[in-house]
Amino acid sequence: MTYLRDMKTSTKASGKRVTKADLIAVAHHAANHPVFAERHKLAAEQVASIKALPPRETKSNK
Amino acid sequence: MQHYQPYEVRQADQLIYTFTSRGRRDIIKVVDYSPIYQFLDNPVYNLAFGDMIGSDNYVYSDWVNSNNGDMYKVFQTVLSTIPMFFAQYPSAMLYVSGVDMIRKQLYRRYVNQQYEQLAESYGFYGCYIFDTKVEGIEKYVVGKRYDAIITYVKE
Repeated sequence: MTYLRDMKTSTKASGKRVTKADLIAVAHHAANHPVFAERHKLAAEQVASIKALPPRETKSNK
Repeated sequence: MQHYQPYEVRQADQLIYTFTSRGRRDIIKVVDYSPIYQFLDNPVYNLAFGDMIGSDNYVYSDWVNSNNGDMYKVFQTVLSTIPMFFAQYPSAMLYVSGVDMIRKQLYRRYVNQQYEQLAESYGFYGCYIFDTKVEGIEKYVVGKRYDAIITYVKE
């Protein structure tokens, strides 16, 4: 964990500010990134094991 | 401001939001909504959340604790993306499970505290997970210790 913290982007320290372009570039790169893909895979396994969903509620049927 | 400004990028059926946590340092956060399953006409999306922890090589972690002094604002920002997600996928169901006990508790606590107000527009299921399987699912009951939550927009 310490290693990760040390690696963390510290743009204030470097004087570089995160721009909107940076955020958009990161978003494009994050799609299908292994860290997130692993999470989605595990979640998919869990959801696929649900045998039946309880009935959905509606606004008139709380 | 109650939350940071998230930026949205859509890639195929995936929605990604990024924003900058401006605490002791600037940290880029990523909220990733990806389709993981289909229940009849209702796609199920998973919400994944993480930090960018490398500046040049795009390394992410969903385990790291930032300790950036703005947890509430970051959490509010993640929550602010949920209505934006449902605006684009109104028939979807959203699966939310924290990566650790602290995050699971954080999500549960939020739903518990806001349940009456949230339940006007959203339905909730609570899930119990053992290993990689959902061992139980029911209509959400405030106060129960669920491992995951599924939410959807009420019609």
